[in-house]
Amino acid sequence: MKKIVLIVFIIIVVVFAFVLMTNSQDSVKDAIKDIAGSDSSVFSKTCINEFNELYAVNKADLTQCSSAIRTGSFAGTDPTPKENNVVLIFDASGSMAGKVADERKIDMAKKAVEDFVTQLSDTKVQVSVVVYGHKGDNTDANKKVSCAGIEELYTFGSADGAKMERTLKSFEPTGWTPIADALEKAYAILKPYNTDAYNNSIVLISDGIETCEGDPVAVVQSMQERGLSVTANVIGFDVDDEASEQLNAIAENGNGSYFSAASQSELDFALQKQIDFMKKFDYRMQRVSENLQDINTATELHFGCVKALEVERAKILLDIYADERVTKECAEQVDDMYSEKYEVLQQSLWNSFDAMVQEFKQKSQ
Amino acid sequence: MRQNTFNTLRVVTIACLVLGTGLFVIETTNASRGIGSSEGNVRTYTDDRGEWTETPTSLYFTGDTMQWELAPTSFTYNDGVHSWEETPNTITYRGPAGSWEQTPTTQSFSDGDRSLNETPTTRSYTGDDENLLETPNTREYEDEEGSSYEAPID
Repeated sequence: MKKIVLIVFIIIVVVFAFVLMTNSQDSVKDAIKDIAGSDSSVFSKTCINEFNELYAVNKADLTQCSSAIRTGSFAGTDPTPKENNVVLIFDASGSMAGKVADERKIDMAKKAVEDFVTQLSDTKVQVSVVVYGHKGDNTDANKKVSCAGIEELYTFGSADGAKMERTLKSFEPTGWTPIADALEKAYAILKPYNTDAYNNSIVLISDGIETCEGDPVAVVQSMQERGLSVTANVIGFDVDDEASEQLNAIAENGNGSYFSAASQSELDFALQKQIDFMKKFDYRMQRVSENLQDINTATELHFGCVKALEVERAKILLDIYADERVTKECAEQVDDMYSEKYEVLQQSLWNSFDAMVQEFKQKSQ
Repeated sequence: MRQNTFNTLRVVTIACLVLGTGLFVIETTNASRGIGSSEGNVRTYTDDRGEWTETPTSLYFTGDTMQWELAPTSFTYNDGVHSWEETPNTITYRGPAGSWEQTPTTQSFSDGDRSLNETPTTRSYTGDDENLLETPNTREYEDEEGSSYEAPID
């Protein structure tokens, strides 16, 4: 009997204690809820002050982050490649009237040059065409006239296929080969553009050696000595060994390349390489390079902001949870208030970064 | 009778002790989001988001997906998608769009399809269908068809 009474008593005590415990927890929750919801409560004010003090101490300066990333140098920067200037020196000496595969060399060269200029018509490349050998004739009597007859028939300017076609129709091969003086003419045309903003090049198309007593190798050498940054590329069209040797020497001394062409397709290929050379190096590579500088700078800025935000969060959490002076309830309230703010800032930073990376990818194609 | 009273009190006392302990455990478990501590110069805080640790010379965080560490001269970050390493002389990023790195004198980029490497004296680019190399004295170009072009430059 006594045992039964004792067991009943214990059960009553356990039930009572459980009810007491539950009520106690509810009371605490209600109290916190009430206090938190009341502006005049001591708890709320104290905790908000706690948060404000902590935030003032640990606050990261992120204002620069959002504005700098959105309007950073990368986003607003367009690639600024060097502009290309090219002077084509066109051989219209009498030998160009000769034929290769039943077609006049002059006509094949004209076709190749016209295609070359047409392909450049939508670029910023500035073109000039200097012609020699089209004056006088190839007799000794008219040698002086012919050697002096060097003209810029296509005036230095933007590439225009139709205009070039008209220019090429305006002369025929007839005289001598003043390569050296033609190179001097090209030098005079390019000299005003001798700055870092330009890549200057000369493309000489010839089927023979200098015949007007000039020294074309010395002329291209002197261009460098006179301070002009220029590349002299040479296309030898259906040339013999002697001509090939001299034309190669011009290219070598002009910091350029020599191409030997013996057909229309080889001539086209040689000129196509000039275009590839200018387009590839001066646009694609330059563009990727410049954008890479920008994305590196912007990424460094972004992660500087990520670092600042994460440090801010760490400091606040450590301050509130590792400091015994801050009550648990207040710590959690501060945590909730700050976490909301943190998540918004974090999302904003990564959204800006992702957009910037996409832009980098697009602009670097 | 006296013995009965004693037994009753003993049982009640034990019951109260058990209940008190239970109350304390439940209260502690429910009220605390994580565990923070401060010992000497080291502070830590751990909860279900991760663990933050601060020492006199470093601050670091380890979570399920994100880890970062800030030391006097370096910062490393990895969230499973993006990673970042920053030292006095090098910054390196790796992410879904590719990787890029910068030192005081070099920079490089790679996205799997294309790459660019620049030093003070050379610049090389590898794309889908072409390779380009620029040195102080030369420019070289090679495309997928095997066409190549070389030109010395000043």
